[in-house]
Amino acid sequence: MRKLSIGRGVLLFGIAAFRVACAAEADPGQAEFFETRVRPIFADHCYSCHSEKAEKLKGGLRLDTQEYLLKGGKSGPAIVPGEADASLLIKAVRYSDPKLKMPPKGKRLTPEQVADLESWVKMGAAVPAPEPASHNLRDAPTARARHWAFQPLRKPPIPVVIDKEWVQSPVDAFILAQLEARHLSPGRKADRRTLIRRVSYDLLGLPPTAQETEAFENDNSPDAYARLVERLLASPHYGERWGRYWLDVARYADTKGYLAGGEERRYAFSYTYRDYVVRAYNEDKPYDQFIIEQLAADELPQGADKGSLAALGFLTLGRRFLNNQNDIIDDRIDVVSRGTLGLTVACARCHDHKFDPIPTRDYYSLHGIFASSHEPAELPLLGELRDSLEYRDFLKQKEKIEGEMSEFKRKEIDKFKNDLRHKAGDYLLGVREAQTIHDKKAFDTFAGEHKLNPVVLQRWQTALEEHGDNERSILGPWVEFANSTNIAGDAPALLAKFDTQPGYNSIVIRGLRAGAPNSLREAANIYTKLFKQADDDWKAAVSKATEEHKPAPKQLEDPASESLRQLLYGDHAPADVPESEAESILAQPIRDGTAPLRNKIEELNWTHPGAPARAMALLDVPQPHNSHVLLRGNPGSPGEEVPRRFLEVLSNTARPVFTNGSGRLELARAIASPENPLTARVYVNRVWMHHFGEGFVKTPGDFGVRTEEPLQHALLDFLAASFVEHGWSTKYLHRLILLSSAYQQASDSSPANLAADPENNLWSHMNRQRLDFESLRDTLLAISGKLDERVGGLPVDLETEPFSARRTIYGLIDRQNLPGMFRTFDFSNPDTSSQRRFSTTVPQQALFLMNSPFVIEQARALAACREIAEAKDHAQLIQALYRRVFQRAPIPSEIQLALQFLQNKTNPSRLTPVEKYAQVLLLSNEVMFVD
Amino acid sequence: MTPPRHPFRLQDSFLTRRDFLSRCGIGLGMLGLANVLGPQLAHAEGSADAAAATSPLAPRAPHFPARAKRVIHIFANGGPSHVDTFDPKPSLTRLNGKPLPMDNLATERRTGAAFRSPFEFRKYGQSGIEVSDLFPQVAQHIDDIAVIRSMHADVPNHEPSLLLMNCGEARLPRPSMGSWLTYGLGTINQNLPGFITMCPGGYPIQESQNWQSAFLPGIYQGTYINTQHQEIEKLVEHIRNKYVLQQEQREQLDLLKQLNQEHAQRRSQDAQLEARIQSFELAYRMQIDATDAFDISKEPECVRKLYGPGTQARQLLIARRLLERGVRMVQVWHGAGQPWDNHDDLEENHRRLARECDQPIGALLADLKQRGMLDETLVIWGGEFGRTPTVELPTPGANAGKVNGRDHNHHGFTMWLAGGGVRGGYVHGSTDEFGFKAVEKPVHIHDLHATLLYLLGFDHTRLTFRHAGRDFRFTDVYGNVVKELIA
Repeated sequence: MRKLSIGRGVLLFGIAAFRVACAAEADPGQAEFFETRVRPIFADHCYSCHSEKAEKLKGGLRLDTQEYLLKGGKSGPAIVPGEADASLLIKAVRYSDPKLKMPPKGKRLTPEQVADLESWVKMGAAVPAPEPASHNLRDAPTARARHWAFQPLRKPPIPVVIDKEWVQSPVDAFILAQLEARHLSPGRKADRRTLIRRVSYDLLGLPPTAQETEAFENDNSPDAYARLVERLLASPHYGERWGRYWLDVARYADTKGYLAGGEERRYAFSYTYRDYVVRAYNEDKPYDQFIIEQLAADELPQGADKGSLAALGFLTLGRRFLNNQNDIIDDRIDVVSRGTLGLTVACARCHDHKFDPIPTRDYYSLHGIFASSHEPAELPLLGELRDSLEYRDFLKQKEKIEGEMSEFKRKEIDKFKNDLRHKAGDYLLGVREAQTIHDKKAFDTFAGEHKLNPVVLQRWQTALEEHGDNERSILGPWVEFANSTNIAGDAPALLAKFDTQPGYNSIVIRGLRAGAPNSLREAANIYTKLFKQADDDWKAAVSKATEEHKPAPKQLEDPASESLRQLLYGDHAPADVPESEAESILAQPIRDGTAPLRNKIEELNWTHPGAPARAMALLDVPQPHNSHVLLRGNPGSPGEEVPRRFLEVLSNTARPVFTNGSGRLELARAIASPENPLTARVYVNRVWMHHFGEGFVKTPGDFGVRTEEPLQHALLDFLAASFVEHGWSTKYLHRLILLSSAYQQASDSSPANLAADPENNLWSHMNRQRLDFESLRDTLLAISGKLDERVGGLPVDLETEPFSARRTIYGLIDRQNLPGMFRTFDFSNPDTSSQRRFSTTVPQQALFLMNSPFVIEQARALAACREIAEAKDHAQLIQALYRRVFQRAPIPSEIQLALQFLQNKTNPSRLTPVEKYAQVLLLSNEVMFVD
Repeated sequence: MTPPRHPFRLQDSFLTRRDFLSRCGIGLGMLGLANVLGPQLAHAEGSADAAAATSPLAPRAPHFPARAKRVIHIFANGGPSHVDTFDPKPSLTRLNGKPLPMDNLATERRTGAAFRSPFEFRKYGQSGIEVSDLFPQVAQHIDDIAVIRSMHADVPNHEPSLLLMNCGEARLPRPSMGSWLTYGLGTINQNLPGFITMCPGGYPIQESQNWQSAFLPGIYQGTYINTQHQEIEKLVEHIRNKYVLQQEQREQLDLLKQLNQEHAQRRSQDAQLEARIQSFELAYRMQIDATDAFDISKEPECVRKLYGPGTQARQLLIARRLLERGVRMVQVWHGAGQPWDNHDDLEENHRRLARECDQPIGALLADLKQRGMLDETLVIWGGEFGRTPTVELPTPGANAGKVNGRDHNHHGFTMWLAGGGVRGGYVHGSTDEFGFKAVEKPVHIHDLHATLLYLLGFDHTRLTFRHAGRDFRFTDVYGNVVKELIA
């Protein structure tokens, strides 16, 4: 092994280099660095002369392996690992030595490339050996054979250990075996108070009360802890805690994301999915069934309440991407594949997955399944409809708004049509001017520029070209005028001609004579006036009949007027358009104009107590179809059609084509299968992660080939296999974990363990965990005594006063403008399936706790709790507060600090000293962290 | 080839907990950074103690020495017309009212004849670059400005174009530029948010997606400030305590610190406990610093006069104070919705909008220069696209049908950059004779992004974050650095 110097006090790279030198093979980070940064430079600029590929090896130097690099060529070793400045290779690429410039002939590397090579040398100049071609893990059979997570799930034997007493659960045998192999001992056991607080947070997301803590501390029966676990597992708050974890995976939110044009963004029924999830956890719904329902509840037999239909929200409540279908499908493929399989299938949308055996064909096999599913316009009801007064009122209000919508539409159309009847002259002139335009687009453009509707313009053109007698009698004079080049001069002769020849409309003749037009524009204006007059006469006749309670007139009495009216009314009249045509012309303004009304109907679903709950269901389309591969993900470039079926890498032998409707149920069954190597492993890893703060696999949404076999692979498999064996029961899994000695260890580590296992990969102690956003807010409410413990229902706004005291899981999640409070506390990104939360520590969190009215309110409520408000002196008050906040008694130094604080008479303010003190306790690390 | 395993990455420092931190303190935390950002990261900009080093906002050095250290993006949202501002087209004047001798390119709505600019252009500075009468004050600084006349985007619609401009992707949730920057660089002043976005009167369209952190940690999301307000507590959430005086809060925090220290002493050493203790001290200082930063009454009269009256002036002056105090990126929007989107009455509206911001932007450039900040401050001006050289035709429900405005145009438009290593007095590329399409040296939004990252010291292909199995970049799989834009 090569001795390394730590260059110029740069400790960082000293550590890095040391790691490389000690490792039997290249550190994965460095391997990646080499493959992505260095090998491409070598391949493009060096290998042609300095590798086994070289036709003629130059200078005796090869760069293919570290061995060759260290041996070097005629000038000596090419590299000194860890020391860039001393490495000839670096000197050569820097072009600083006139006698040694590589690549030669001025084909100098860029400064960034040189920097990459320097970095690589400084890190130890690792050269990972190229993998033989037969080990290509992008090939499904190879990956199945070689990648640990794709191999069948088998229950491993329980290891034999020395310290049998420590083994309370099979989990412990696996943990202990690894520790003993390294001559380490497990951590000490946590005290009772720590344990009840830990397990309460783990299962409920809430602290225990002081009474519960004391009872547990004083319970000396051997099964005290087991009974505690059972009690917590049976709590209705258990589902709120564990359901929320699943909602992260399901990228749950109560809104659709950005939508233009004032469309309602809220999902009316997202909460039915959330409540389904909470219920599923409380009822310990078998996980396989849980998956099947979330993917295909619509294809299963439904009970009377159809409750499981709500499960389909898993697929449907993602972002709407301005209704781009391929993006919506992509979101669904992603949530299913990462959420249930720990596979990043969505990477294969545009090209075959870069690392995993997932070709684009597989992506579009799934695409076809979701493209063959749709959301019904009217969502199915959940539960039996009860005919209540409230429900009837809901219907009445809904119908009222629907009536307003029809009325709005009617008015828009009438206004539009009325307008057309009063613009006859403009259209006549328009036809004249557009007669030389034959191109459709140019015609439309012309109409636009003249503020005419192209459809109506076309109708006038037709009337002029293919006229019957009536049209001729009215429009004939217009045509003659239009053909004249000197209207003022020709008018008398033309008018005389109309008088003498039969078949011209008398009103038109009279009007033209009276108007004596000097231009075509003036003639057009006369026509406008005459048509308007006929329309006014007609409207007067109609309203007169209405007033006199007579039947509506069928026509105008004066035949010449009636003749004009004929061109204004009726499906073939040029100045009229059929109803359907008007609707389509006005689609946009009608849609925009009725948006507030449509939103009002939507709103009824969450504002009206009689609104029935519905499922955000997905159903199969009547004719399911396959999708084509979209080349580079582009809908404009369809490639081959691919059948709807499961992923190749997870289909061990047969890979049947899905034939049952869209294939969602078949997909669901393929995922929720005991034969599927990933489903149980991925889920169990997550459950372990939520208990221990870290999973066996640290990328819980990616079990692909880039994810190393975990140190505790055997334990993961044991848990996963036992989980499946016990009917996919999550609560069974909890017991297996929680009753272990491993789980019950203290969170402080011994120096020996810390030195040997600094990352706690061996679970030689418990990881201290910080409260997540939900637990933090719920804890403040629980301690202040204000927590509203109701389960389920419509989401509530958490941000505005008066503050809701509901648990945080019931807060409205607006994925478009997620409130700062959520983001500040590392809430999961509701736009994409979230596998684990970030854990940042930033001053904005402190600002919220120091200054937000919500926290102040809790501090005041805490100070107002009876046992605190009624404390007869400071000593009693401090005792009572400690009991409530920390479920323990204060130690003398804490009492001392408290007394000093409470006796300080600095400034009068809006908070009493006790309230200020209460706030300090709420903000403390002891509240915020779980040991 | 064996696929590389998951390496240590910057992002890991937000996922791992106490053991990771307590084991390595600053060293290994930084190693994580070194690995993703490249080992040039031997030293960060500021000094950092252990707690600060674990902060996701601790200052970090980029891949190579940066030309720019901070960014201000002045967003003329709605799409300012390039042929009326920075891209003169005499041919439009000549053809006014007549069809172009080419097919009108497809934009969102139908457009008709050539529509001459109602504004006059003249030459400014030594470079003699032409600018219209809309921006005479900005034009005074033209020799410090690189005008990119050959920008182009993908579609003529606001929503996708805003996302493309801000996040490098038109539809799917991706981190915004400010999020990438604060992820890559941290921020210099820990007492202020690292990425601030200001918009008076509400949100632009697409709302907070424009400054989203997407899959990056939430702390990298832009902090939105409604600059319509002037009171500090309406500007920054929870920045002030309405219940206790500063002295009382100090006493509370002193007690908290003592309790937390006793708590920590009863446990083995744990960096995450220490980090949280520190975060309260930071928050306490933030209250004072943020209040100060937003208080423009502290500026001398002459400076306030330089920026002039109005909301634009106020928010740009605040922006300068923030940049001066070490905020990494400030984005300044003209107003809620899409003010520059003048489908009708373009002349009147563009004149009004430009009058609102010309003097303040000119003042900002002068002010930055005078303070010696311009060299390291990258100033970006532009919209999400430009506008058509042809007149927009009436569309019921979509415009007022006045036939005196322009439609959106993504085929070609103008943006300008100044300061921060940008080549001043330079015009890059051009549109066609009429200003419809970028024809010479076209610069796609991804190219702009690659260039901006370059100026900030990043190889855009190497600033990555692994999410859902993929190493994501601001430029996705695109982008070429436009070297000519760099001084």
